[in-house]
Amino acid sequence: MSRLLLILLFSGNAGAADLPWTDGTQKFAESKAEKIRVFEQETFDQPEQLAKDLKKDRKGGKRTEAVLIIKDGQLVYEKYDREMTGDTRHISWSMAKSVMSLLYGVALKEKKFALDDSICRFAEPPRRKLCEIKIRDVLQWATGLDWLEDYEKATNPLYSSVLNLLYGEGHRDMAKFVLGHELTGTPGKTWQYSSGDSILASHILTKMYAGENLQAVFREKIFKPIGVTKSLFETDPQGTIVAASYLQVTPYDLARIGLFVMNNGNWNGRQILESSWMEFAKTPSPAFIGQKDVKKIYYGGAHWWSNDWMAGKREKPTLAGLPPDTFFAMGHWGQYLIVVPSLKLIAIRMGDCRDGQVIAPKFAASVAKLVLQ
Amino acid sequence: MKMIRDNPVKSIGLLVVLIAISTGVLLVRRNFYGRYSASVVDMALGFTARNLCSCYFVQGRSENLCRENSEIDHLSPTLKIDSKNSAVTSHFLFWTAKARFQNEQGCILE
Repeated sequence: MSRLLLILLFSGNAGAADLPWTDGTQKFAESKAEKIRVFEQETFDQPEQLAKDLKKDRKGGKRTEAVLIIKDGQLVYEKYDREMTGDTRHISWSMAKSVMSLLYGVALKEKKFALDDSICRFAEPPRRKLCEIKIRDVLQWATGLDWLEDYEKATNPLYSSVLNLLYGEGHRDMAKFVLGHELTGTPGKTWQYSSGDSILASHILTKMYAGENLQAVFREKIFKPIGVTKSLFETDPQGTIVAASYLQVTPYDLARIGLFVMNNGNWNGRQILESSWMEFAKTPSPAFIGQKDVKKIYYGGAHWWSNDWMAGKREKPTLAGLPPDTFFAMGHWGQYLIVVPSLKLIAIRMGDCRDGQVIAPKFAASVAKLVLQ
Repeated sequence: MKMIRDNPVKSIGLLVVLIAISTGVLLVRRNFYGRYSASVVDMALGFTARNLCSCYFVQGRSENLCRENSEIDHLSPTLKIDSKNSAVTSHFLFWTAKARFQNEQGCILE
C-alpha cells in the first residue's frame, strides 16, 4: 500500500473550520513586526550563526521545525521549517509522558483506581517488594526504581536505562524490562525523572483498561472529544504504549491538547478529566520538594512540569517572565508545550536540536518578550 | 618485562589481541558491570531503524530529511527503506535492526 495512502487513511480530516481558535496572525504580524523579527532570530536558525554551529557539531543549530502561539483564543503566530506544517506529525519525545498521563484523569473520574493503590493492583512485578510503590509514586516520578536516565551523549550509553529501554535489551517488552529493575530508593520519597516510571504508568493503564486497545481508549475518551484526529501513540511489540517518548503529534493537535489542559480538562462544557486532576498534575510533588538537589531547575509535578517555584520551594521560576501558574510538557531535542492559564497563552516549539542550545527557559523568555511586552 | 625484551613482536601481538578482545566484548556484549545485555551497536541500529521508520511512514516527511534526522555520531549504518513492506532496516557489519510500520501502532522496533 502506498505511503501516501497509508498516511491519509490514518489521518483525520479536520479542516480549518474545525479549529478551536480564530486566526489573528495577520493583525499580530502587523502590530509586532520588529518583535517578530527578533523572536525569529532567537528561535530559528540564521545562516551566519548556523554556519558557526555546524563547524562545532555536524548536527549543530537550533533546527526549529514548528512554533505556534495561541493567545486569548487566537492563533497569533505560527512558523514552520524542515517540511513541517501545522498538520504534520512530529515526534513528541517526552511530551508523550504528559499526554499519556491525562488518561489517568479520565480513569480517576471513572473510579477505576485510587492514587494510593499499590501498583500490584494492576501490575505483576517479579519482586513483591515493588508492591510498595503506589500509583501516585509512579505518576510523580518517585517509584525509587534503580534507573539511569542518561541519553546519547552519556559517558557510557551502555549503562543508560532509557536507551536500553527504547533500543536495547528492553525494546521488545518495555513493561517487563522496567518491572525487572530493583527497588533501591524509597517509593514516594526518592524523586527521579524516569522514562521507566512513565512506561510503568502506561502499562498500568493497559491493565486498567484490560480487554480494550489502549490506543483506541485514548482516541475515544480524549483525542476524539477534543478534535485530535491525526496524532497517535506508538507501541512496543507487546502493545504497550511507549509513553516515555513516542507520541507522533501535529502542532495543531498539540495546541488542542494545550487548550484542553489549560481549561482544566474541560472541552466545550464537558468535563472529561476528573476536575481535580490538572491541579494534581501540575503541582510540584512532595517527593520533588523533598529532594536534596535544590539545583534542579525543572520542577516535577505528576507527569507535567511546574513553574511554581514557591510551591516547589525553590528560589526562582524555571521559565522567567512567565507566571507561577504556568505548566508545561517537554521533550528531548527541544519539544515544548507551554500552558499559561492566567494569560490564556499556549506556546509550542517542535524541532530537532541536537547541540543543546535550545532549552525551555530560553524559548519561554523569547515568547514572553514577543507576546507580553 | 623479560618476556617483552626477549619477545617484543610476540608481546605486542598479544597486547593487540587483548585490546581487540576487550573492545569486542565492549561492543558486542555486556558492559563491565553486567547491567544490560545490549551492545552500543544494537542500540545505535535500533535508534536509526526506528527513527527513520517513524519519520518516513508515520510523519510522511521526505526520505532525505528522514535519513539526515536518523544519522548518529561515530557509526554509519546502511539504512534501507522497504516501501512495499513498510519497513526499515539498519545494518552494520554483523548487526541488523528492523522497524516496521503497523498502521495505528505506528512503527515498532522488532
